Amino acid sequence: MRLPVITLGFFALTTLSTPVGANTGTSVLFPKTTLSNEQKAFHLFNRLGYGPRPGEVEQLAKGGENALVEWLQHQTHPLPLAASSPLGLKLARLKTLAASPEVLLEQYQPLAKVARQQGLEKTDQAAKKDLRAEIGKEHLPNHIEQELAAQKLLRAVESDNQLEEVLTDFWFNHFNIDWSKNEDKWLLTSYERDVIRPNVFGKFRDFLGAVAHSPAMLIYLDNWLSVRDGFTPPAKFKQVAAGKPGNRTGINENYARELLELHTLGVDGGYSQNDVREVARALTGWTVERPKKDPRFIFRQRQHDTDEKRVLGSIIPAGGGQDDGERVLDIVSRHPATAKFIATKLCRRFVSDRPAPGLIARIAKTFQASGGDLRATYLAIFTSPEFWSKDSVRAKIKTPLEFVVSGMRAVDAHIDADYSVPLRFIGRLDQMGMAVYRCPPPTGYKDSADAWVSPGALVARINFGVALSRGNVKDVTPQLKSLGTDKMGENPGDLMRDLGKRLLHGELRDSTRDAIMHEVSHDRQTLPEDHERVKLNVVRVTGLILGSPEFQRR
Amino acid sequence: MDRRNFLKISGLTLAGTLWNTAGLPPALVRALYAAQSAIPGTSSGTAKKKTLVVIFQRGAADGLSIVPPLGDPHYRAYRPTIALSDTGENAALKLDGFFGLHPALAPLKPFWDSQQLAIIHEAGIPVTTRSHFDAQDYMESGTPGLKATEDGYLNRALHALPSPPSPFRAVALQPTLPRSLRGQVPVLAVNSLKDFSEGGALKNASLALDFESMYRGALDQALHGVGEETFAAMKTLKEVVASDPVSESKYSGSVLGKRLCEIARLIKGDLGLQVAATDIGGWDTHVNEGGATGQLANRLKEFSEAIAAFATDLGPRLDDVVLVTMTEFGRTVRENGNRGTDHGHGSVMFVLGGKVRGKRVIARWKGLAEQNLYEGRDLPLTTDYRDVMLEVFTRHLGMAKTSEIFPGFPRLAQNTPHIFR
Repeated sequence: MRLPVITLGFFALTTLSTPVGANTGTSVLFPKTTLSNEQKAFHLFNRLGYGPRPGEVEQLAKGGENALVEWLQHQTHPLPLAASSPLGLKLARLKTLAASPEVLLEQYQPLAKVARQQGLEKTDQAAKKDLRAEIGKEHLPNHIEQELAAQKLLRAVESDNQLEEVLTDFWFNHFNIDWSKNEDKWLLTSYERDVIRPNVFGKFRDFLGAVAHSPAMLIYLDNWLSVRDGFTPPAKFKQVAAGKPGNRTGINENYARELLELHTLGVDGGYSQNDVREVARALTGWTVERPKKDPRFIFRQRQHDTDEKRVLGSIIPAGGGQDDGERVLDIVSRHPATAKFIATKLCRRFVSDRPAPGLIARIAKTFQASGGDLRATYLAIFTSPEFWSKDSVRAKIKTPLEFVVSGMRAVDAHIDADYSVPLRFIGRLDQMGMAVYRCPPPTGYKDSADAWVSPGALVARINFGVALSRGNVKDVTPQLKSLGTDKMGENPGDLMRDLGKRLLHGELRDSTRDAIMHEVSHDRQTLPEDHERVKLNVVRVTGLILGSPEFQRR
Repeated sequence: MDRRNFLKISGLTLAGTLWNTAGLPPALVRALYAAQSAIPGTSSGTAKKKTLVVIFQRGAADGLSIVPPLGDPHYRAYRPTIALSDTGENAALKLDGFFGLHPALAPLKPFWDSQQLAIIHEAGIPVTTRSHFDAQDYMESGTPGLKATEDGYLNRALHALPSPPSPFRAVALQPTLPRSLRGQVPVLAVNSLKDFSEGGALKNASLALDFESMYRGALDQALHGVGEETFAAMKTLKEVVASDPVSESKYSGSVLGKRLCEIARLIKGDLGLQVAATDIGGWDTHVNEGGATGQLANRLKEFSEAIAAFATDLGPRLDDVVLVTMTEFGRTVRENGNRGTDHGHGSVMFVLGGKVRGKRVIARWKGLAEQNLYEGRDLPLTTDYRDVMLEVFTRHLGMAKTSEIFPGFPRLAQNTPHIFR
């Protein structure tokens, strides 16, 4: 029973791995599923993206399987965002996005540093306050994070390349870095732009290499401070205050450990503490030129441990240099535990919180057989029977980011202003427990329901859903007309049925229906004008649906 | 284990009966907790009604100015402009003939005098890092040196602590869940209880009722359960917030004051609160730190007024409460060129509570001669904050099993700081 399914999966995969026309025998692409085309389209938007905008599901479903395949094709081979597109123009206003770390370090200096440079009287708090006003909030380091978060939300809401956005978020979280860590404030923009985003459809080994060479990761997990045992810093550094890089002695295992535990093999991946140590030794000398001035990757042979290393049973001979680290990345990226770990995480993101072992094994096999080809791996998941099974539809609780963005998309929200708008969403996301770019541990955020359902978070979610539908989120205008409310029935029952269908593409539960009916009918006396009431009811029903248990799932 | 199941299994054990309080009216829930806590000899006897409050001072507070060693001959030489005086108008308050208390901490002095405040000097976390980020991270995860620990030590403590399934078992009064409280046990993290129960669209009672029935009917286990908890919590909180309108006026109105006021309401409301955490920033005094007045003094004033108001507000309930303060590391012993101090090592912790063996500065003080300093520049570390917390967990919260709270860090008799009577 299993074999033919795999064959179909591989067939689909080869078809989709190369750009193709519309007529490629697409009927075999979807394993036998009982889902209707509308359900399939809705599932695709929910899983490969941040939920549909009004009308998108209906349009895709109308085109049948050809349209679905074409959409999948587009999502897995995204075209670059056009600078002249509405989103491109909005992003162009965020000046830090294209800037290099050097420029950001130069132009967004901490207030204290500027005060020092200007020779301000240290005790003069008033002068410092004036300086702050003179510099302006938008020229201090926090602004970089604000713009970065703004672009994340803008892209998630407005980009047509939905899968690219989902994957950029997924892989950033996999290779997580917290904005607060030392110089990473100035490096995160480049980290996401130059390290994460360009690699999400590439080969895993290349991705891992880009991360390992990134100054952002070298600083976040301290590898830049890791030197061979017995290394004595040159005399000119000896005067540097204790705790500063000049005083570093010996190996720092942080990056080596997380490389194995979180980036590749997984915690049960069969490595030992000795492997951690050996990997750390191999990576000594992988450092950063000058984090505050010239944050570039550099290899320093003097700091490198040139003795032999033994990593996961493989020997890296003595006398090596920078290449020792490359050998480590080769070994861990090819390791079967890595295939299994990456497959598990991807299946958890795209299929369910507890993916079936059989599915994981097949996806891991694709990962290995394709030499860590991520696009091929995603496609194996998207064409798997488990992905299309009825059980996996709405099987996932939305993360706060997914909830907020899917709500915005569902009501075709128009974002009116600049970076300050997404800032308000960042506040909302904080309340729901997901501070964007501020997840301190290298584990990243969890991708299962238990992390995201708590009383504080639920209140924040419901309040957001209602506020969004009412237009109470500043500078964000819901466009409920896009849902086709003009043509919907005026009586509350019909309205509820129609809006439920447009927003959820499925049946509302009885309890949800009853609650909505109660809410829209209990004060009908206070609204004499029928059309006013209908308008108000559209807002109310939308808010109730966005806050409903049904809408918390994808 | 599934979070919901865990809650149910660990449920309210009262005379051998498994209770589930979700869905019961708030007043009844309260009565149940109160009744249970009055029963002696239940499974974890001393743990009943006890609350731990942890305040994290983010930014590395200068222990040497907070509790200055006035009697140390080197103290003033290291700090020509910021050292505190032991005489005159702005003198440090005398504690024990050697240590003093920063004058801005005067509101806490009565609790010292009544032996409810203990001070632990040269305390902190044994890591070499001087990065705020890393040190806070290690302190809150409770696993110094290990980055990938996902949960925090306070959550692991809650996990090991038998308890009724109250939605208010653990509360973080800050916008995001602190690292220390992350983990398996659900924690209510809100900036303000008032905003939680009365803010946003759900302040409309009729709308809240409709959402409540919507979530009650959710087939979905995860959402059904959390919905029940949420709406019960909101109702209870509305009552609690309304029940004591005057207490807020006893606090100074600072952010910390507001948060501690809400924590006090939860404690006085008998809602099953076991651990509350909050934080206060602004301790990173590299420039113009000030002495008896100035930047640090202003922060300390806010800090001490809020804590004193909290302890006063609790009245006799202070016997059931322990409040602990900590910071990620201390600051350099030497003043820098900017009349401030740079990142150091050991600092100061306060432990306040009715049953605390107070009026003592706990320290293994060797003096500030350079050879005694950590790396020749910082206050050394002679008490690990984990030893402080382990004693609090066992003696105050009555926990028998603490081995999983700080993995690989055994509780040793000789390291117990003896904070309790």
